[in-house]
Amino acid sequence: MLIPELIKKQICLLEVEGLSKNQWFRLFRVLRHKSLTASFYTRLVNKNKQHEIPLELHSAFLSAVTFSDAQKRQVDVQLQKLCELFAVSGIEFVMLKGAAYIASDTPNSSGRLMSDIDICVHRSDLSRTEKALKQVSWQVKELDNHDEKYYREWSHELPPYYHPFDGVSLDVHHTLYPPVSAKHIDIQKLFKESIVTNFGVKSPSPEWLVFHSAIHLIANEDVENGLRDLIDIYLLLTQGENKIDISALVFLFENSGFKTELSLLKQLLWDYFDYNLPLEASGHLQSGSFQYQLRLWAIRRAVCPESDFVANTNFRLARFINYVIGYSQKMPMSLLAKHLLFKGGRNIVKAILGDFYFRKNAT
Amino acid sequence: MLTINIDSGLCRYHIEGITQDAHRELSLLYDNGAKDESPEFADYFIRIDDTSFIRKFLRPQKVVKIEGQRPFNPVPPAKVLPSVEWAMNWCLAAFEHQKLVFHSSVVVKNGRAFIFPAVSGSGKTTLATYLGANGWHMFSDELAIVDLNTNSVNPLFRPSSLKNESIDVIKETCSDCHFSKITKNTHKGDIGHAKLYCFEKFKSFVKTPIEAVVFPKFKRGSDTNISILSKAEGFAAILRHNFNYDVLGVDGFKTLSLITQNSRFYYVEYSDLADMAALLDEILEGQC
Repeated sequence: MLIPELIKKQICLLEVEGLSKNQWFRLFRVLRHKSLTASFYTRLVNKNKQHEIPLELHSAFLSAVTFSDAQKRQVDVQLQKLCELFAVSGIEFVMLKGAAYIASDTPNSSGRLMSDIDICVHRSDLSRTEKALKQVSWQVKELDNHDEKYYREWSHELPPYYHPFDGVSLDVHHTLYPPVSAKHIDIQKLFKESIVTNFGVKSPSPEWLVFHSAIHLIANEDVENGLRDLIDIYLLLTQGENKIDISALVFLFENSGFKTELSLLKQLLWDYFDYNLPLEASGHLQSGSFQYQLRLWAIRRAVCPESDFVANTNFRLARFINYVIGYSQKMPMSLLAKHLLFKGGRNIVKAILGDFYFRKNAT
Repeated sequence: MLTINIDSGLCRYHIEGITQDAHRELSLLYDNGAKDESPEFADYFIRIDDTSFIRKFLRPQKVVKIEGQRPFNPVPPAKVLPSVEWAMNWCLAAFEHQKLVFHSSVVVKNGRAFIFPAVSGSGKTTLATYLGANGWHMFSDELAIVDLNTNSVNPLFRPSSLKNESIDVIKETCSDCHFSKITKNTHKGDIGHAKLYCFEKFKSFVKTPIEAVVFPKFKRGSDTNISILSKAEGFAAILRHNFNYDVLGVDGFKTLSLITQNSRFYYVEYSDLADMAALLDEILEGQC
C-alpha cells in the first residue's frame, strides 16, 4: 500500500474502530508531532466516534482542544485589531489560510492549529501596510541577507512580522505565488470575490480557499504540513456549508497556470481519502506527461508525514525531488540555481556538522 | 543506546536513545518508578538523537526530540541527563492544558500545601529540597500542577534539579538524599539531581489543597524578611509564574481565583535555610 494504513485509514478516513492501545499510542504520537491532535478529535466527534478513544488519551486530546480554542480566541482578537488598524489607514486586506478558516468558520477550522496569521493586501499598499504595522509595535523577524533578499525581491510576501507583546506572527502577502514565477494570479479577482465575515473581515470565497491551499500544498517546496493542508481541502470540498462551484474552481486553477496542480490534487484526494474530485464535467484533462508522473511520484509520498511510528515513511528522495520541483516552479532557472546553491550549501554543512550548526549558542 | 520508561505519578514518559550513563542515573533517581520494559501506553515520547552521522564521531552531539519537536540546543553526550529532565518539564508546560501549571516548587506538611512560585535562580528548588528533607514532603521542585476548578496541587515523582552552589548546600544539610553525578558546565551551570524519597513512599502522597503562596528570594547574607501581600497583590504576582492561564480561559481564571481566595500570600527574602524553615512553620501555624 502506497499510503501507510495509519495515515490513510486512521487519520484520513477515521477508521479507528477496534484499535489496540498500542495502535492508539502510535496514532497519537503522529497526531501530536504533526499538530493534528485537536482537529482529529473534532473530526471524530463529528462522526460520533470519540468513544473509541481509550481512557488514557482523553485528557491529552482535550488538552489539545483547549489549546486550539485558545488559539482561535487569539486569532479573533488579532483580526479585530488588524481591522481597526487598517481601517484608519484605509488599507483593504483579505485573510488567508488558517485565519481565514477561523473568520469564515469553515468545517476544517475547528481544532486546526496555525503557526502565524496570513493576510493579503494590494501590492500598492505594501509600504503603507508596513508603516501601519510598525506604528503598533509589529516588528520584522531577523533574517540573514539571503532570506531578506528572497522576501523583498522574489517572494509573494513580506518578511514575517511578529508582535513582541502579543506573541503572534504575521505574514503579509501581496499575491499568492512568487511574482518571479511564470504564473500570474489575478489578485483583484481574489478581493472582488471575497466574502465579508466577522468584524467586517474579508475572507476568500470557498473556491479561492481551496485553490490557495492546493497551490500552497502542491506548488511549494515545503510539505511539512502537507497532510494538514490536504485534510483542509478535503473538508472544504466535502463538508462546507457553501458548496464549491467546481467549474469556477477549475477556471481558477487553469486561468492562473496551475492546470497540472489541479490534476495532482485530484490524484492526492483519491490516494488519501478515496475521494473523486468531479472534474470530468468541467472538461479538465489530466496530464500524462513524464513531468506530471515525476511530480505525482514525489508529491504523493512527500505529503505523507515522516514519523518514527509509521513504517515506510522515509521518503527522502521523494521529498528532495518535490523540494527541487517546488522551487523550480517558483523561480526562473538562473535564480533557482543561485538559490539552491545557497540552500544546498547550508544543508551540506548541516549534514556534516549537525542540524543545529546555524542555531545560535549550539555547542 | 537504551530505553527507559518513567512514571512520575501524574504521567508516564517513554524515553529512547539515552546513553548508558544517563540510563544508570535515571534508574537510581526513579528506582521503582523507572522500568526498561515499555508499558502499553505512555503520555509523552522523548527520543535522544545524534544531530548528524559525522557528529556521532566528531565532537559528538545529542539532541532531545520531544514528540517530534526539538526545542533545545544539542549537547555533548555527557550532558544528556539534565536535558532529559528539562524535556520532562517541557512536556507538561507545552502539552498539559487540563490543569493549571505554575513555575513553582511545592511542599506539604500536615495535609497543607505551600507553593513557592519564582523565576530561575530565586532558590525555590534548594528551599523545597531542604524542606523535603526536614519535616515537609516535597511535591515538586519546579512545577506546581493544580487541578482545574480546585486549589489542589498534585504530587510529582521527580528529583530536585540543583544548580551550582546549591548542590553542596543540599549535600551538607540533607545527607540522606541520593545524589546523581554532577553534570558540569551546562548552559545553566553545574547541575546535580537529588532524590528525596523512594517510589513507594511517593505513592502515599495525595493531592493537597494550597494554603499559602510564598514568593521566595534568596539574597546572600540577608536576614529573613517577610512581607505579607494582599490577595490582589498575590493574584497579580502568581499570574506571572503561570504557563497556561491564558490557554485555559475561564477555567484558568476560576482556578486561580480559588487559589487566591483560599491562600495567604507572602514575599520572603532569606539566606539561611533553617531560619526560613522556622518561619514557614510559623506561617503554617498561623502565627504570621
